[in-house]
Amino acid sequence: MNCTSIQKEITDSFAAGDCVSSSRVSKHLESCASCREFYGSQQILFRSLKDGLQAIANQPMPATFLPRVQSRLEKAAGEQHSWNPNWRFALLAAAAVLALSLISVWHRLEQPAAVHGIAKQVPMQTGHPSFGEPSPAIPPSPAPGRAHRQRKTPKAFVPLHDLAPEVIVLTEERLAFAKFVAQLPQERDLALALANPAPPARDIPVEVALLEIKQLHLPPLEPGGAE
Amino acid sequence: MQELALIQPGRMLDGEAAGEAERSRLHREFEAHLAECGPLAFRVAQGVLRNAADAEDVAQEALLRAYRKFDRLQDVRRFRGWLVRISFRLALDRWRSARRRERRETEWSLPEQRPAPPSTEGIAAASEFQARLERALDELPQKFRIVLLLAAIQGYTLEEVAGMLEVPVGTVKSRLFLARKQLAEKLK
Repeated sequence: MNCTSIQKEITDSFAAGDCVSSSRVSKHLESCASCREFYGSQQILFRSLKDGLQAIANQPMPATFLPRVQSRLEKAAGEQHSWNPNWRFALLAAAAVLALSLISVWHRLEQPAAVHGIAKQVPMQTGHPSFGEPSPAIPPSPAPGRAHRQRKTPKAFVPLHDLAPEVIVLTEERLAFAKFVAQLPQERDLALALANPAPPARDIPVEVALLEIKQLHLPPLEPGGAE
Repeated sequence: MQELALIQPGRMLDGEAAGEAERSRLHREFEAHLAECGPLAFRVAQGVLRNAADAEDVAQEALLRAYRKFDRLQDVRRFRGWLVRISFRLALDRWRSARRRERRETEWSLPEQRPAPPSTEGIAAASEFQARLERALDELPQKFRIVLLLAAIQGYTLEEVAGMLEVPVGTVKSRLFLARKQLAEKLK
């Protein structure tokens, strides 16, 4: 019988917490001195392991431990209680500040303020619209083939909310945007592209040509080649 | 200008009283668990740190954290396992930082300042074995360490250990088996 497998079985039994060996092991131990010695050494080792672990895990607890914990808990409970009313007032104050901020922002958005003011400072070409001011509407581009004639369109006030598309401009970008808008009269096509809606997408049919495969020429394999 | 009444004293008092009653109830419930679970937190920390002062600090911190989050615990029956996990995690963190500090001090200290290695004659065999066991235990994976410690604490069955760790009993047995084999291999 293989002593290695017997010794492995002995170790596994002790590791599993079983002190009683199988009949196969017992029978082998009767006739094998080295395995009996191994059994004895494993027995001592695992008993020492168990005792050592119990010594580590069951150290006496200091008598002052629980009283100290209780006093810390009392202190923590007191802190939680005194914190609550302050938290309530802080929340109310924060809600009031938030409400005031929202009202201020709403009020600002309703007025055509900064962009309008900045746009006025930029030199403008006469007869062309500026953002938010009484201005003529942008005339449509003439049909191809016809001579281009500049029409005089009556001046009409274009309020902010009637201009399309609406643009939300960040505060730090208002100046740049105002300059861009001021340049639009010089870039007529760009202005029209911004003012007019995008054309609907059209499905362009794709032409697919048939693939022609010419006749293939397959030379025969050389005789005696390796497979 | 419309006057807004933000504070209604009567209603606030009722709400405060209800909150106070709830806090008191939770405090009493936590204290009821303290008698049994306080020592458990200490023993778990002690098992990792093997230093009573550090274990006491860690166990106190673990109990305090558990107390602060006690109202969020949905099932009170899971309190013991929850506390064990908090204690074990805090103890491991403390142990790792102590090891790093020790390594730094050993690395940077002058040779004459390092502690002399203990002589073979000076140490009893049992103490030497215990020291070797502790070193071997430190090298085990976390899930093996915790299961060995909990199974070794007096008064806890394998079923209770499985409940604390929220794993099946078979998993506990399997981890114990592998952990003991690894320890035996290191200590033979």
